[in-house]
Amino acid sequence: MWVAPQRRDLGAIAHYTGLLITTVAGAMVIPLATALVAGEWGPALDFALGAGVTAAIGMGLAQMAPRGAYLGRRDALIITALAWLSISLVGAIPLSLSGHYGSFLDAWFETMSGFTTSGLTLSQDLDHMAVAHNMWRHLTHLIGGQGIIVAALTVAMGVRGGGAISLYIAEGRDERIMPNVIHTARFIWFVTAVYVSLGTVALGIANLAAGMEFSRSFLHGFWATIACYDTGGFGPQSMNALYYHSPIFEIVTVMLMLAGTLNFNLHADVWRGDPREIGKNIEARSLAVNIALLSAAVGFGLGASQLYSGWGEVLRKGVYHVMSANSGTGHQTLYTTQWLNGYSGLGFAAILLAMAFGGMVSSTAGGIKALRLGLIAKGVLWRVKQSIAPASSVITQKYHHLLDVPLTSEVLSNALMVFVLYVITYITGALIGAAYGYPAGAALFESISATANVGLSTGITAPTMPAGLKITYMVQMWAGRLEFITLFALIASIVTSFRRGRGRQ
Amino acid sequence: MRRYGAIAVLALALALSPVSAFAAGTSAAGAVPAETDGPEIISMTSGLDGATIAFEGEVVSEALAGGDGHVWVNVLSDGTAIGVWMPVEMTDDLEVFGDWGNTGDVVRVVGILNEGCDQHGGDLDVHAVSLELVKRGSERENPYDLWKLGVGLAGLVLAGVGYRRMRRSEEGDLL
Amino acid sequence: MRTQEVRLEVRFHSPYRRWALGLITEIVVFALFMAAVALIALLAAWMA
Repeated sequence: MWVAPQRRDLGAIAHYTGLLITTVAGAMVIPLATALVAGEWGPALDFALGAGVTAAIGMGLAQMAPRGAYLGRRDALIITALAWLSISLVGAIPLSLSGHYGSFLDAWFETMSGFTTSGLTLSQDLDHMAVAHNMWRHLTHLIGGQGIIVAALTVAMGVRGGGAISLYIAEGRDERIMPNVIHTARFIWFVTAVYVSLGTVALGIANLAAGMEFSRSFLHGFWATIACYDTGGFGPQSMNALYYHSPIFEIVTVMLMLAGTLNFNLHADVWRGDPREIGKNIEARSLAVNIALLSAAVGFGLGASQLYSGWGEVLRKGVYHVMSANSGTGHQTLYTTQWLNGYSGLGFAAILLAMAFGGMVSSTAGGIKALRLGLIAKGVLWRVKQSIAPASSVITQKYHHLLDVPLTSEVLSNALMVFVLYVITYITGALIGAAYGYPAGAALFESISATANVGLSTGITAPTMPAGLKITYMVQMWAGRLEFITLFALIASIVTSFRRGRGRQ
Repeated sequence: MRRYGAIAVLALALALSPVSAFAAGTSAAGAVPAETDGPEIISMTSGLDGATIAFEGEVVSEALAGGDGHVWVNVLSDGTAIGVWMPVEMTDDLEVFGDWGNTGDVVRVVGILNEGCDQHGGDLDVHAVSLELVKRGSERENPYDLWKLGVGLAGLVLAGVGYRRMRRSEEGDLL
Repeated sequence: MRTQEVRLEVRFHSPYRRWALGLITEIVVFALFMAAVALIALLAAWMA
């Protein structure tokens, strides 16, 4: 049975979405202040307008229900699904005024990519972009990555009742690290603050040593850190990570990518003083095996190639991109054109798979995710064991994810369902890209990159691409970030409410 | 130093001669630079890997340390930035690097293109042989529109009104 | 009927108490992992 939302539900949904949007208006103060400090008056005005309009929209929506309105589980799902759509829409306002985007759609694509921690970009003339606009682009990774919902919670909006926990679950982070959501949010921000400070200092010093000006060093350090730790992939220069020409930069950022793709439950366990969990965890194991196998494939492919067979090249062009793809970051030290020309076929395929598989759950990584792959592998093992065991015996299979858990058909079927949904979306996006006339390999690469929120690009993603394809990739980034079910819940709710409206007449 | 100067003079002389007649097909010789631009350099299909090339572009951002007395200078040519590796001395003439506030110096780079540079971890780069200033950079005009401030403030006022209304309605609930 | 063993773990120790040690552990684990993966890739490249 489908349960259609009531008018009261719609009010609550609008109310909380409005509060979320208001939070984004508050966040725009950071680039505004950056602009003022840097003496960038034009961009400062862009953000003044952006913050004002966003606050007005947010507060307008918040009027639809009283503060602290009751929030049901279904409503929470809908808010989550709408969150990325609505905040990317208002977040695009200042960027669209910057003069670096061909249209509002391009700016919206950029913020959708930013908030979903993808990293595909449609910016033009990035090397002349104002510091303030770059600050906002990178902040979208931080805001979207640490969970819009968690971010909103930290601002301590007075959500009463069970709504808050539902919001958290709807975002796909269904494990409770701490006894309650506020504690969990606080811990996530604590880990983030530690890594972001550390990364900013490390990369800032590296930049300083390379001859960058002081404030620029640390700004670039901060941006690269949040882009990697939140597995985003934006860069402040058009050359992305290639700009730095620095092995040290690449090593530090890969570490940050790994930290960003680690499940927050694992962070919590290690920081409690129990590092053994990393070795035992099914997800950590399957990710490690995954990265190792794909690195071997890339190494094999590049080793046989003409261009990248040196050991430095295998590491910096091969392994670096496996890590960047598997963690869902999408920083690249290659020009977009080089994926199809020069990079080996096997290497290309391995990067495709790395993007498709993705990182860990309860992190900012995208893709199918290591936990599901691990479960599916265990599931295969389980079925094989069953098939060769005597008919009367009961075969159980266990896996270790934080606890020893028996594998059930339900868990397995959930993992398989999400796996299938991802694969269908990867292929659908590739078909649409190919229909627009792009080569099939490139179209598949770009489609996977968008859906798995990675951000590596073969160059299809460009301001000149057809608007239909821009929208396709935006939907893919959105759906991938929500892991489909939340998005389907939104669509089902809309459809059922229309049906109800028609039934009454 | 002197060696670079000599090569630069030679390259310049060659460039000034009717290049177009033999620009194509001479890349193997290495002495006559093939005229190109950013998009062609990164196309990977130019057939210029290892050849001496020449292109024009704006220097952007800054010179970053490249080790061995060299620096990396990024040259933005037709919308594509190319990392050019050059001896520090070569940057003596450079004054303005492009950023939000400035259009950088426009230079003509002659150098060797490496589609996968063995020396630099496979980066696509150009090892400069000579660098010539074509046009001095200048400040960019970044006009600003005050109407944006008006819209922003109006939005803020509206938001403030909305916030007060919401608080009042909450107090009403309590009664 | 089989009885299932239920293991209850109380997991609410504070993760803040030893965070610095945890952080260093993580960095060491990442570094070792990166080194291992680099070796594997180089070995594969060498075989190719």
